[in-house]
Amino acid sequence: MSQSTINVQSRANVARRHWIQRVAFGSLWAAGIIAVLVLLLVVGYVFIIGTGTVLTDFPSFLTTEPKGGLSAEGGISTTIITTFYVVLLTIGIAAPLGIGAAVYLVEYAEEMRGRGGLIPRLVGVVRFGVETLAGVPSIIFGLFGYALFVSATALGFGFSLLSGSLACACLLLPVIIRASEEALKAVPRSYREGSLALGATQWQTVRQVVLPAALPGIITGIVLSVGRVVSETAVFYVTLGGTHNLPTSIFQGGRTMAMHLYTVATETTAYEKAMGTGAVLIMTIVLINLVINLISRRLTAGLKGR
Amino acid sequence: MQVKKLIDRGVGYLLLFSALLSVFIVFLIFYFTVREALPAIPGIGLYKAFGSGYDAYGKITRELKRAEEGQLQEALTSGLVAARSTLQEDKESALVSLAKDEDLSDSERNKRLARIEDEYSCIQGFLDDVENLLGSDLDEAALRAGVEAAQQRAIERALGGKLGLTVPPWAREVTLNGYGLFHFLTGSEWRPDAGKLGIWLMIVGSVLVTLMAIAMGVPLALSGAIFLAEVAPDWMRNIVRPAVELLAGIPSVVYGLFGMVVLVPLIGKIPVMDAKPTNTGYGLFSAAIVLAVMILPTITNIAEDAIRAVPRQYKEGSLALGATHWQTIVNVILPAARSGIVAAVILGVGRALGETMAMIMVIGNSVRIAQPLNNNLLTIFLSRTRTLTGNIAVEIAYATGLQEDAIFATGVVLFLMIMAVNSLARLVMRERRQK
Repeated sequence: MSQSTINVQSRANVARRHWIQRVAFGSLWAAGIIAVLVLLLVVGYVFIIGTGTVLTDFPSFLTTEPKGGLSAEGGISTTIITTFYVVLLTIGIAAPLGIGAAVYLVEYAEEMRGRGGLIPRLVGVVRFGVETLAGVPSIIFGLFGYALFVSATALGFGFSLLSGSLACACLLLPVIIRASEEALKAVPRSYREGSLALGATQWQTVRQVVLPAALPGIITGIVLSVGRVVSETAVFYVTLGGTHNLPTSIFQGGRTMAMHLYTVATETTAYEKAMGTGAVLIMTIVLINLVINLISRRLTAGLKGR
Repeated sequence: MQVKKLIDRGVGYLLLFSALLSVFIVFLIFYFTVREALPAIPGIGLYKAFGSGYDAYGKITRELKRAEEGQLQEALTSGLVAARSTLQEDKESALVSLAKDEDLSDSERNKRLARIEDEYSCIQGFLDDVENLLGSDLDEAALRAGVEAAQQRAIERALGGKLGLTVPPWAREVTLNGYGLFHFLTGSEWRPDAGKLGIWLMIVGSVLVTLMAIAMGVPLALSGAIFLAEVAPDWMRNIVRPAVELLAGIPSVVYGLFGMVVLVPLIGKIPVMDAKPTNTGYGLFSAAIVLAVMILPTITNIAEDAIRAVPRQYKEGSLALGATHWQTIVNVILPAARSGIVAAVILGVGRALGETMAMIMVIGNSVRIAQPLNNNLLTIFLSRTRTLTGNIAVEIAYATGLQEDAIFATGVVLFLMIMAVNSLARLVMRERRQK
């Protein structure tokens, strides 16, 4: 603790100190309210104008394809579906790998420690990898995805759902690993010890006791990642290609809602359509957050022992 | 029972494999980005070293690469003719543009003249070497080796001329790469069609916009954090904290859109006398505001956690001694939470440096270094410029060849900068945990 600069104050000072406090707290209240208001202003502006767009053409804005052109004809139907595909594919790749890695780090790493000094070294290496990945900016994942998955000099998938999802899965891996690790660590040791005492193997314990107990936390992490995929633009901008047609296979490219917002905003003059896309995006994020809150409430209820 | 044990072990190793995957991916990212980026460095070095002779040199190089079996002699002969005429034309146009440039002092003019002459004679020598090789009766392999050796000599000569020292053959690679790297990082012109690929202006742009965003956002964010942690009543905290967390998840393009539609017109209205170029609203200022709003939730959340983590005894002891709540905050709680707060700010910096989409929507993306619009130094904040992230996003769609390699190199630079910032944050946070 730092050297305290508190002198025991005499009573004569009290009025002045209270006055200072009232000023300071007043500014803090102002700052807190300003911070929230600014954020709400930005998001609210886009949301309100955007909802206007969605509702005036309801439901055609959501069900027509975008048709390009200077005033961005059409709606956003294909982008919604493409976003859905991308989320499915990305989570499908990232979740098993991420959860598996977390299970290893929490359940097996110590168990295997007895087999020689290699394992703790590997665990340290894995942790370093996860922390490094967590800090990489998203455009770098896009560039990497372009170099490895899209480019003909490497895997050569071209601009496709596959390239985009693989690149984004790399982005999500640290998020899922961290969230799953937290969830697994929160399961009481007694669960594991009880199961092992009854004669179950490690894997049986993990599969039938620990994982179900940690499931709400893991699902929270997955849902958080879904939010991340929906918001992510830079990665897909470089790997998906941006055509407004609906991809009919994983080797075709497409456009997510966030990409569409960017394209409409910078290449056309149809700001209201961009706002409309933004409103749909914001609505999606809000829904995702609600789901997370519901799950974590169930989680805390579960841990309190029902 | 044996089977169960086997499954157990097998699963263990399978999971180990998926854990190691994360490390493998880091390695892949490094490998592939750097692989694409590396050719940029010697490429830029060559361009700078050969100057107006670059195109002529390139013609010979191309013939060397593209010639088919048995065609090398003819390919090089025609290439030589083309190269000689290109060299002549390029020298003349370089002299013409030098003559057109009116505000040059005499010494500067002579220096540039000497440089053009050096570049000319260097490539002239190279072409003479090639001509001699073509004249002597060599088989294809020997011809190829001879031309390659002539290339290396030309590089050494050009580098030596530019650096003012002799470059020995063993140091050629290193000198070329160092020369290229230096001009890549410090070159303040980015004009891919003219072969000028310097990212200094983008480094300046990124750093400036981040500093501005920090200056604007951190006071507000920290006040908000202190407010939420210490001053706000519980009901308010239960509403505001989830709201701030929600806002942290909003896509960055939404913030960028707001910036484009609301901020840019507003800032464009600021009157600037004799502005060159005129203030359009796009620029550092708009971008910094958008960025500040975006990093607000990040910094507030982490700083608030840090403040809440300070043990209650500190606070209670201070209050027991007669200090007011505010005095306690300033003199006891904040110093105790200092490393967590610093870590929060550093993570905000990392986020700001890495932000792409919102930046390219409001910063203007001009390839000029940030500079004041008129005599008033403050108008530097209204200048349009480009960030490192913006450079990557804007050019990747159509860049080819050396330019594409340079884009990847920009990515590597960005990657390294952010890794440095994040390592700093981790160091600070670890120091806090040990306290």
